[in-house]
Amino acid sequence: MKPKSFSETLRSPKNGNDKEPMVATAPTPSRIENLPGQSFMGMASETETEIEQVEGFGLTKPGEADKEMYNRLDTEIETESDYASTLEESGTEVTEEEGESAFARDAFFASYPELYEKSLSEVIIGTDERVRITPTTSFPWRAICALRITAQNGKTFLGTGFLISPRTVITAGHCVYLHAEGGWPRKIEVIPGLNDAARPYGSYVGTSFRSVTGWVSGKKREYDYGCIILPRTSRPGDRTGIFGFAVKDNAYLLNAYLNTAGYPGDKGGNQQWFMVSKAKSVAPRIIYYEIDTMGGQSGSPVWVKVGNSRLAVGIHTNGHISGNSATRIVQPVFTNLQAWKNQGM
Amino acid sequence: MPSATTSVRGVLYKSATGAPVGGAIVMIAEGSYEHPDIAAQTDDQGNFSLPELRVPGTYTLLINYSNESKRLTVNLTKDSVLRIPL
Repeated sequence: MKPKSFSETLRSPKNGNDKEPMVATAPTPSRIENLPGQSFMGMASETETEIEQVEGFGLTKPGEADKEMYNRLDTEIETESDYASTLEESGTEVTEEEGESAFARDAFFASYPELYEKSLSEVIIGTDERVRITPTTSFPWRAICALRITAQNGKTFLGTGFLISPRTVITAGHCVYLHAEGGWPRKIEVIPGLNDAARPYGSYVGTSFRSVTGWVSGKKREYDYGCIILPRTSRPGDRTGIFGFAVKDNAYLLNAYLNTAGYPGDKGGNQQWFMVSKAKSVAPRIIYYEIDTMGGQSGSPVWVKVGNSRLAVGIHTNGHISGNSATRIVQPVFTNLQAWKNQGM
Repeated sequence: MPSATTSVRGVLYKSATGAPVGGAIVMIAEGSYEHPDIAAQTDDQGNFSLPELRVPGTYTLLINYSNESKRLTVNLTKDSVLRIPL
């Protein structure tokens, strides 16, 4: 089935594109994750404006959609947030014997035949270009976590998250607050670097969750983000390293290579798969791309690699044949992530 | 008519015996609307939920179980309860 045009999707007011024009070109400031042999095509965009028409506007008071909501606070020490003046929070790699070259050798080339694997046509946009990451014990792969979510009603779900502090796992809002499944989950098991049966960094159970009003009360896709704060004795980020995160403008995002990796259900949910692409477009609070994803990858980091830095710029949340998408890290999201990072130190 | 989001519930069972299929992974492969990229896992009774779906709409489900997979396209409404034989 030929999907409707992407520009048609983009013009939909529900996507938030009615507020801010898109930007077409800019220098390419980022590098891809050591993936030789792949070529990527950017997409020129156009500037369009429309009359504001926001679905469900009355559900949340303006300005309050990014207000933090949580289920419990008793596993963390609350600290005063020391907000930086720049909108970029660096991560740490944690030095180990495996560097980036180890990924190029072990993960990519060991998995290279999978690149051509025939997959389910409707799941993937075009050809399936996902690459399996194995082993998962080098950075940044080890900072990406499989999630096993147990909802309040006992139903179980698979998702993905990523560490931004020793105890803070960022994920989709719909992984930490499921409206029709009882709200906040009973628990989420966090498994950094899961690789089939191997759990090289163990697993940890979180029961303390954060999201924001725009998701919990407003159910708005643009605010679909949240986190898990692990117990004080559970500090996987000390061993795995952590992602940084940053606010980037439209021009930057449209020209950067966007990386993502997570735990897709069509691969069984126990293997980490990676892909990179440029953005198709950006909305004020959403990034659209043709990165192949599947159920189970909600909460995956969408990051840029600049030198040795990995900076998350989005949180993967949604699939659609015309373009998969992430909640964009904009200033209010950044501020919440920074606060949640501090809570998990 | 504006669409709403809801969780769609279902159950997997073996067509030959009627026995429930637990431990299967169920996800949306394609749909009328964008959908959360979360996957559901069936419990011992074969029950699952697919959360935050915009309905009414047409969706293609992908089901992974015992190294096999199955796809099917369904029309979902607010009150849909799926009974899926494998």
